[in-house]
Amino acid sequence: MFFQDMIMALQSYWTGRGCILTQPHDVEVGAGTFNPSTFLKALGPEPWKVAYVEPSRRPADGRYAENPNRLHQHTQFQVIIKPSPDDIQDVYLDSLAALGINPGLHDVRFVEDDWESPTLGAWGLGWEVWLDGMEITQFTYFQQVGSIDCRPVSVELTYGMERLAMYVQEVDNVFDVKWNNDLTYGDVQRRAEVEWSVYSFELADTGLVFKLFDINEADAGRLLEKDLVLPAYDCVLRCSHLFNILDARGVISVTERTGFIGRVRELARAVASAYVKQRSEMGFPLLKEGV
Amino acid sequence: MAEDLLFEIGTEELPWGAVQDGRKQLRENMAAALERERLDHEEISIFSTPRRLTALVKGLAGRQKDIESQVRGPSREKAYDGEGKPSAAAIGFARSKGVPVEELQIWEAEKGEFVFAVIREQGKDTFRILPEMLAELIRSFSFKKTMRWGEGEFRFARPIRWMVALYGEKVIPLVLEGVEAGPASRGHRYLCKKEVVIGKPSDYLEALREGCVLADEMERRRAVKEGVEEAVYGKSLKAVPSPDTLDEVMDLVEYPHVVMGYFDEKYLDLPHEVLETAMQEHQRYFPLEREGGEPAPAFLVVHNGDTTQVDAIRIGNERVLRARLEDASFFFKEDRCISQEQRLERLKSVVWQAQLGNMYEKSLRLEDLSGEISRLAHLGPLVSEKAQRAAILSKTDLVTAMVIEFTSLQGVIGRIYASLEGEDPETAMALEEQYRPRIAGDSLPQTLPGAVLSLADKADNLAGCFGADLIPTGSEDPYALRRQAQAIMAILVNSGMHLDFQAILEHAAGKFGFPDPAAIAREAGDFCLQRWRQSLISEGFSYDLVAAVLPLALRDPADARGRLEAMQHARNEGLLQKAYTGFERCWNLSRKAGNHKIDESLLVEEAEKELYSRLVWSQEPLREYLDNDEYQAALEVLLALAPHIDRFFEEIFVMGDELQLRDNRLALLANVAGLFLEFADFSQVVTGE
Repeated sequence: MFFQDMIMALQSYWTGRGCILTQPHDVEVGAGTFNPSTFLKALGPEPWKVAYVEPSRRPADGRYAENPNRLHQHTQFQVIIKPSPDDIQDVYLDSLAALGINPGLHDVRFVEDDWESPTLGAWGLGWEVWLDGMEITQFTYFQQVGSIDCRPVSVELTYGMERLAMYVQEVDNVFDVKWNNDLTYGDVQRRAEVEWSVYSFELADTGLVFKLFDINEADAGRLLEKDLVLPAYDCVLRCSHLFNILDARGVISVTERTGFIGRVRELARAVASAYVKQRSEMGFPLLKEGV
Repeated sequence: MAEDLLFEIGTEELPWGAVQDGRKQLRENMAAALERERLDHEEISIFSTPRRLTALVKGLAGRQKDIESQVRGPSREKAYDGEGKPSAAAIGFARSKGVPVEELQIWEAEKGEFVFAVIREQGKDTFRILPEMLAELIRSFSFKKTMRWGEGEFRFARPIRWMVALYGEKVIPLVLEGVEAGPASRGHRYLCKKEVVIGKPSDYLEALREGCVLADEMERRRAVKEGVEEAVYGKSLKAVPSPDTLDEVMDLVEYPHVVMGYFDEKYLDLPHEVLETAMQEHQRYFPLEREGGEPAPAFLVVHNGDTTQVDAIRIGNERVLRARLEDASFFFKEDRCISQEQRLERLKSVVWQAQLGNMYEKSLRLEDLSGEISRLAHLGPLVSEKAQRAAILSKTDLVTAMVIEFTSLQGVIGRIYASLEGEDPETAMALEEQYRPRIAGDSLPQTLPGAVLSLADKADNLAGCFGADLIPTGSEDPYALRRQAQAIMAILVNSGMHLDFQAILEHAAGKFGFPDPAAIAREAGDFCLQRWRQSLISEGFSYDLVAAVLPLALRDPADARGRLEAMQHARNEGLLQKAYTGFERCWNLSRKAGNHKIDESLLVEEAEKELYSRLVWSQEPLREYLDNDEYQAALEVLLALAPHIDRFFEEIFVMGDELQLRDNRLALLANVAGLFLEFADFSQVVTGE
């Protein structure tokens, strides 16, 4: 199965189970969790079912395309369902069958994992799903997002598409994954990996990035005062990504780290409560039956 | 009639820790609940898998035990008139207790005769009690981390998806968070698609076995053991899982099946600890050894399921391990291109704690502190040199790619890289030993340079954190200072090193440039003393004896412990009483004495002359024994004084009229008490027994 076919198979599987299909967010994020379709929609009482692909950037994980397993940018396939259904594990396992993986013929395990995102003020309990020893999915029941308790609880499924593709296609180097019949992952992405590694580790102008962080932080505050939740949230995302660049460049000490993370978390918390307040004032429109 | 009870809580995959805690709590809470409900029963068995926690209670009585209680009412005189008719008081009492007045009993109590009501409560049917009892049982679990799911508010380690609750063949009506108990359990997630209906409790294990689930942990253990033996049969290989990995794996699978995988011989060039960590910690594989104890390029994976499809599973796991080992090889090569000195330089950009500088500065402080410890403990120039070299290298592995990736190998990688770079073996070993003991009961540094460096690191941490006001409060102890305080004592006692740790703390605090290092050292020292006090008491030492040696404990912890052991031994042998009584008599009187100088010419009575000569004679041996760590012998010197003290008090009236004689006698007693105090603060001892 080609890389792109796997994505299409998951899209088709989850839309067939009532998820809406959305697109990646157009601001740099480190994970699909940062997409407003997850971060904001996991808040409040309104039901929500969504699936989308999220190219996720981790500046510190780039390896100049020299490491067969590590990427500056990898592809997550993200599913959010709120409230979490009782049979979600079985539904998830069926999705593997859609990728040609029969769980009965492999060792598929749910291995304890406590997920936490300090920058988002979010945590949950769940598992890493292992396929014959390899982590292929992060499976989390959100307990808190933006420092607000999740009621009801959403379940988040995050598939690591490159790893899954390496497994399904039986290749040991991510750059050998076949995107379609003609092109490999390397053909499509290798140059980007090299350039972004150079940027993250060598050339990012840290003075500028520090400034951009401050600018975006201030702007988030200004926009929140005007109740513009979504524009404010994009500023938070930019802050988070800028922090990741600074971190990769090694210019943030351990203690400063805590300070920066705290600043982003504080913004995320403010956005989260502004969002809940806004939805509440709108009467939680997605609660169609009414409460 | 007695029947068996089966209660299974079916969940999504529980973490290993939750399975362990769950088993323990289920056993204790079930036993407690049955006791509280007055339900007789036979054996309670607990079963578990990652997806279930189960209690099977054999022979659970069909009804609660009846209870009978007696409640005292008014006195006989108030309860009956002269003709034996019950009074209003008696009638009211009987009514309030729900018994007929003619059934009131008259019994003798402490203050005469009283009427008693005998109240009998008949036991209820077990089947009626069970629903609430089991619901309460589920609510009584406490896990380290709990969660909510769906729209519910109930918390458990992972979502509860089904329950089996049977009393005999009857289903116990029980609903919790929308889950209704029934007779149906679930078998293996992939190998058994049907429900597993349990006919009666004693069928449980067998029914699940048919559903490809081994619910009894011991049975899984046997299956794994057999699987391992079968896998290595005829291959001259031995599986060497750590006990933790073995225990954990038992609780990660419902239907264990052992598969052997291989990796390329070239990865055997990696440090063995790296191989082990990649296999055990990251993947929960069992590493394999060749006959000589050398690692083999193979591993065992305990997978959860089918025995027929092992190839895909083997290949998949091999690929995962290969990727990890390839990563590790890459890091290893990368690290080997960098010298220790370059790493040391890089430590300048690694912050330890904002107020307390970077890791480079810490390394310099540790070098100095290691020298100071070696000097004060008289360890000689060789140990000092090795410890100081180790100190300067101690944190360099923090900037290696290997430790950044395999964090649990901090210290181990330091040792391996130092060896590869030709450092002295004890210096290299000290790099690993600096973090020991990692947890209570962990092994202690075995080399002196390792012990010195470990002490230096801990003294630096304590002095730094106390100086920067990062002091543990309540349950918060982010820098693990409590554990380190205990570790210091353990290391000093184990190494037999005599070290003034108060002076070391003060030296350490001085190195940070804090304004009042002595005050910080006192505070940090008291903190250590409190931890030591607790750990000694929990080891079984009497709290008053601990108090008697505590003032000495910081100036020479090993010495304090020696004295404590001798006193405890004497107490256990029943010998301490003599010494204690002798000391106490001297101490009580002599505390009133002003001048402690004895004038020999004023000693007139035989008994006081004798005590004086024994005192003079005892001083030297006592001090000598103490200097040579012969605490038992030192204590015996004091014990030997006891009969002379006794004679003194039998024959002499101390507080006589003649002031000169009196003061001289008090001075003598003060000196005798003083000799005891040289051993320990006997005034803290509460009793000799």
